[in-house]
Amino acid sequence: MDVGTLIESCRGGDPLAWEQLVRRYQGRVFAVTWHYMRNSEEARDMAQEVFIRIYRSLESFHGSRAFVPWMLSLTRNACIDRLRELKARPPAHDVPVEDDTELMDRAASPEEMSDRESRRRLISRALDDMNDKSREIILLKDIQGLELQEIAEMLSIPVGTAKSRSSRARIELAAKIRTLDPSYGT
Amino acid sequence: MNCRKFTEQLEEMIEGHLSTQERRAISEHLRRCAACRRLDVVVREELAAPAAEIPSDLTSAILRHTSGSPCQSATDRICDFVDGTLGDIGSSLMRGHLDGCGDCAALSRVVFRLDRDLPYLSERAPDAKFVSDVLAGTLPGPLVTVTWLKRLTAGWQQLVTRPRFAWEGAYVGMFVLLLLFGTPYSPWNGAPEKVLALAALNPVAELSEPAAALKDNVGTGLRSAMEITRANVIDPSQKTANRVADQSSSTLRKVRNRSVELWNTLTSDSDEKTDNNESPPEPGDQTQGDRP
Repeated sequence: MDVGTLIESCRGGDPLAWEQLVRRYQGRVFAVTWHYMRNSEEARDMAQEVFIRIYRSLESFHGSRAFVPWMLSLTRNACIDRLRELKARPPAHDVPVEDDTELMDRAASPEEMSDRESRRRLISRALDDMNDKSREIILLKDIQGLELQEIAEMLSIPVGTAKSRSSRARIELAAKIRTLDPSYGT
Repeated sequence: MNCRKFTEQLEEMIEGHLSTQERRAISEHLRRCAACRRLDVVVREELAAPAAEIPSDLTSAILRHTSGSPCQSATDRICDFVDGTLGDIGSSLMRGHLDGCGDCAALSRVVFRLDRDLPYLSERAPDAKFVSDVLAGTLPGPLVTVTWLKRLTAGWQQLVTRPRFAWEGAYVGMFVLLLLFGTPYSPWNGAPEKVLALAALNPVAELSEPAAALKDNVGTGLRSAMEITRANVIDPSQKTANRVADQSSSTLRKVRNRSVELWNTLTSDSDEKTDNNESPPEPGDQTQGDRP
């Protein structure tokens, strides 16, 4: 079922449609919240909060807009709000930054998964070493596949700035990965 | 045909790109010009000689001394090259650079690989209970109330443990009071004046007569009480006080007179021992042996 039909069914009050929407996009939302929060527990809470906001905002969502950019924009805003809150009122105990754990990969053999997993961990380590803006643009464009126009609207920057920021971030990530593992890409 | 034109067309002639007429003109010129004949020989020998081995760092050395290293420019274009948006000429130039620059070539390979690997990070699996928790928090049902209560409790607990909660609460309270009473559009704007107006609307005129009567009654009662008090308490008390004062005065005079008599008696008995300048003691001032 395409997402437009799914959303219409959700608006009609069909709980099964809403469940399917949640199952379809839980991975992407959780991946984004994890990249911002860097902690499974916080990321899970944020992902849940995001879906609650999506549920409440479905009525106001216009079908002419693409759903995924809207959903990711909402996710990003929720994470940024939460990070501001945490910065203003740090938690009583340190929240550990976690290593990359389980990633979804449904169509790969065990050998491929192991190889892919090691590359993912390498990329995550390199991403951890980048500044927030660079990591964010990599997350939105190269990981989540948003267009530059959509990213520019989300970040309230010109398209040219988004493009140059994206190029610099990719080169920076590539350079860091080469430093960590010179054999990557060969 | 002259020497300058011959020099310009020499290479084309050797490569066979000239027309028959042009070749005939050049041949005619070579028969007449010894210098151009010598030049023709030199150029043909040079072209026929085997190419010398070019040093591997020659290009980079030349670039270093001329325009500088092109690697930064190449690095800036790697992403467009990988994305295929560089155009034919740009892509050709990039390929030419990457063929000769190992570092840039390695970097471009990493960027190519990342282009394939990064999308695999787009999804992460939350735990198995995630969907049911989201459904419980969104779909209407009895669980929604529990969830809302839990969230409300957790939110409240988080709020009251904040160090500035008291200040923020006072600030919010003042703001609420301002909204309720202080602005022109507040629902209770001017409440004190309204209360006074309501009080003024009460039938005060109806109360004035009984109030006056009450005032008279109270005044009469008070005056009566004062008179009674004066007659029964103040006057007798005054009389008693006067009596006591008179009696006290009388007694004091008697005591004084007696004391003077005693002193006179004592001083008359011991004229040799006492000094005439000593003043008589005060009444009541007794020394040993003077006790009555």
